Amino acid sequence: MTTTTTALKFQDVSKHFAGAATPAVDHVSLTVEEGELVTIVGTSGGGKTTLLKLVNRLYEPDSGRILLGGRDVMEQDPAVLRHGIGYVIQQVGLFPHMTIAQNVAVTPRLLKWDRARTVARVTELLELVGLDPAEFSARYPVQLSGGQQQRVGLARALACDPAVMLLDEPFGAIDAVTRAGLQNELLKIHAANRRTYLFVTHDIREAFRLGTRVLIMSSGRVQQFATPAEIVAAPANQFVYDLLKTATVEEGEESLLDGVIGQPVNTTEMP
Amino acid sequence: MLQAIVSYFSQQTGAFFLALAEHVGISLLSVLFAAGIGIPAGILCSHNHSLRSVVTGVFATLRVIPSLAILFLCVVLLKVTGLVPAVLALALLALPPLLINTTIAFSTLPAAVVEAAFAMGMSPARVFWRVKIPLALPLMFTGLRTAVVEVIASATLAAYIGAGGLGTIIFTGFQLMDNSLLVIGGASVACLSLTCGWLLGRLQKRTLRWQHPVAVKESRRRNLMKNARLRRAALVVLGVAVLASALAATGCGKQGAPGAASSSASAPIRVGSKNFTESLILGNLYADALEDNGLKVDRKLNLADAVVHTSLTNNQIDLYPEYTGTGLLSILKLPLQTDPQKVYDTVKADYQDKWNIVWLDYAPANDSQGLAVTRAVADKYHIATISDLQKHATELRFATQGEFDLRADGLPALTRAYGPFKWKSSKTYDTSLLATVMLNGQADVAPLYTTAGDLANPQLVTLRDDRQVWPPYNVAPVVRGDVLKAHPEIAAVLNAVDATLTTEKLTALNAKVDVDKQEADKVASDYYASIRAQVQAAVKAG
Repeated sequence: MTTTTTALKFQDVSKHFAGAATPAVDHVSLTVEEGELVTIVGTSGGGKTTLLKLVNRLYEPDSGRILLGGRDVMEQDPAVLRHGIGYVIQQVGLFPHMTIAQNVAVTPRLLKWDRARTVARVTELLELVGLDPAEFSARYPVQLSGGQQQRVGLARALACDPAVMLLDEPFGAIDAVTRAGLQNELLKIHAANRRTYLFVTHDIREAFRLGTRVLIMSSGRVQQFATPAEIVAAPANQFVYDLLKTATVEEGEESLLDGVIGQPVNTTEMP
Repeated sequence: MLQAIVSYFSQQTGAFFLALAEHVGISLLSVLFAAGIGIPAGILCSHNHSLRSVVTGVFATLRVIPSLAILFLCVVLLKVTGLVPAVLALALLALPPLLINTTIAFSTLPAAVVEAAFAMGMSPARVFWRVKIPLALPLMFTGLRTAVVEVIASATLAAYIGAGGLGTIIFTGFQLMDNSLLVIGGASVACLSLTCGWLLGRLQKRTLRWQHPVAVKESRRRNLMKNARLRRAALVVLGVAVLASALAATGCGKQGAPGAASSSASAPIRVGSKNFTESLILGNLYADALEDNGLKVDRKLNLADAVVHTSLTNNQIDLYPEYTGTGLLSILKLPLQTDPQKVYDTVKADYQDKWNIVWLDYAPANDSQGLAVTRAVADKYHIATISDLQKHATELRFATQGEFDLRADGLPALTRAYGPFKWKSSKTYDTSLLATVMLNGQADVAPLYTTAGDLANPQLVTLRDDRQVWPPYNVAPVVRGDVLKAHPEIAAVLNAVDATLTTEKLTALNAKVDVDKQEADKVASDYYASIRAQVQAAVKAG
């Protein structure tokens, strides 16, 4: 009986980079509801990252509209737009010349929060991502491991409780054990704040494990956008089917999903 | 040597700190100037690839050129000496490390960090100041350190073109063959360079702690240790200094310090001169006359223009021949006057007040700027004065060394006083060729100093400056007041010598060296033999 609201809407969006043979994003239309954790998966160069960067205007679309909370992102001041969007990337991109506390406090300071509120929020966030504020606040990024750095990256993006979180392969450069821990943290955080998450990954298992819905992209187009169970049960086409096949369970590993992969719905057409 | 060094520092403290301050000032100005251009240019280059390759290529080449060459090139191109060309040349030297490091720093910024900054909603200006600049700072700092160390070392050369600094001490030591001055100057430059490098290194570590952070406790412990070590080092240095000065004090009491001799009655009179023919002849002549009258003399001749006056004020020489016009314009930097007696009175009073240096009587000889024409031209057009010359300028061929046409007291000053000089033709030659060119019939007029040896040739005529554009350059000995007090007879001897020196006589003496190729000391001693009776009579009468 929960009424859902649309958080993000792509309307026939295309982006073609100068010099590229094919468009990076090719007439994409989709809708994401508030509170969803959408994972985006597909081949490299399939347009996943471009799709993400169109949301916070690091890229701008050639055509089509992107509506965030009902408003066209192109009609908003990019700085103001970005204050409301969390952004986490694989290389983390912490400011090396600022302490951990200062890194987390960047957006609160841009929004001119008062000191007490900022300090309280930084403490809360460091605890949320599993870092002891007393130990880590005054450290510099170089003193942290890759996994710890990405926890800070996550805390920094969450600082002002953004309506949308964009995560571009955030755990891509982190070892498997640490990654599993971070995935659990992310699920916990998402469950707690129920904001809208767009999560790009090239790891199909990660996509299926985290996503409430999975968006499968190739050649700049949406191949299938559905819940993990739906996709496994009925892959939309040969590409999706093949992709799922690559993730078949190796011995001793937990299965991708409890289910047998269905036959592709459309075997002839490969868009 | 140690005594000489200690006595230098006890007697010349003011001069030393002035040189040090000048050195720091020149260096600072040069680096600031270079940073003001190099940093923005470096940022610009990091955005534009083709610009970058051109600019870095040019500056990489520029680094290969010796700084002395750049220094002299600046003097030649700008036609001025002193601070301006020195700062320009040094800035040119400081530019490459600043510019190239800034370019590299800004083109290797971590893309992810910059992207994250924009994605968090920072404005481009905020990204620049809060992210790009701090991240570029380490490399820029390294460039700055290189520039500062290089500039401080090279600023030594600024003394060559009269800009002052610690180089003056080295330069003077070189001219006077005084090793202690060479050591003092060299060591001071080295210390200054090392100290500045070290200070910048400390600053870099402090401001860029994020690169190599250490846990707080650890860093505090280390600081304490470092402070203790520093204190110990400082104590050792202080101890050595005290010991040295104690040693020197006892040494000084016994025998006086060499290198900076006192004015005691037994010390020889140190006679200096500048490094051109006329001054060399006069220096030798003064020395001969003093020796003949029973004084011990130490000849410290052939000093560069840039150091001769400071050598006198710094008690490294006791007297040298100077020109009244030079004292007025170059040394005291007072406004132009043209009356010989007034100029002499002015410099005499000011030297006495400022430095306790005495101008003895000036000789009638005037070694001024001048214009000469060939006898044939003078006769044909009836030219005796510069006014006459101006009327006939359009019919005459001018030969110049180039500088005369441009410097304020050259042709521009003449034009203001006499009207325009529209020569029939004007060609540039080396100074030493001007007389020959005229005698060969290739030119009619040329600028020549009024006592130039070439003017002894009857085929050349000096023109009278009938509107008195040029200041008088009467020659006279300048003597330290303390030395004159210890040896009052110096005044009578040198005044008697100077009284014999007319422009014609001085010109003839110069000609013996420059035209007949005799040695200056021989010319001086021959001349002294010819006036000896006259001088001794005058001394007795005085």
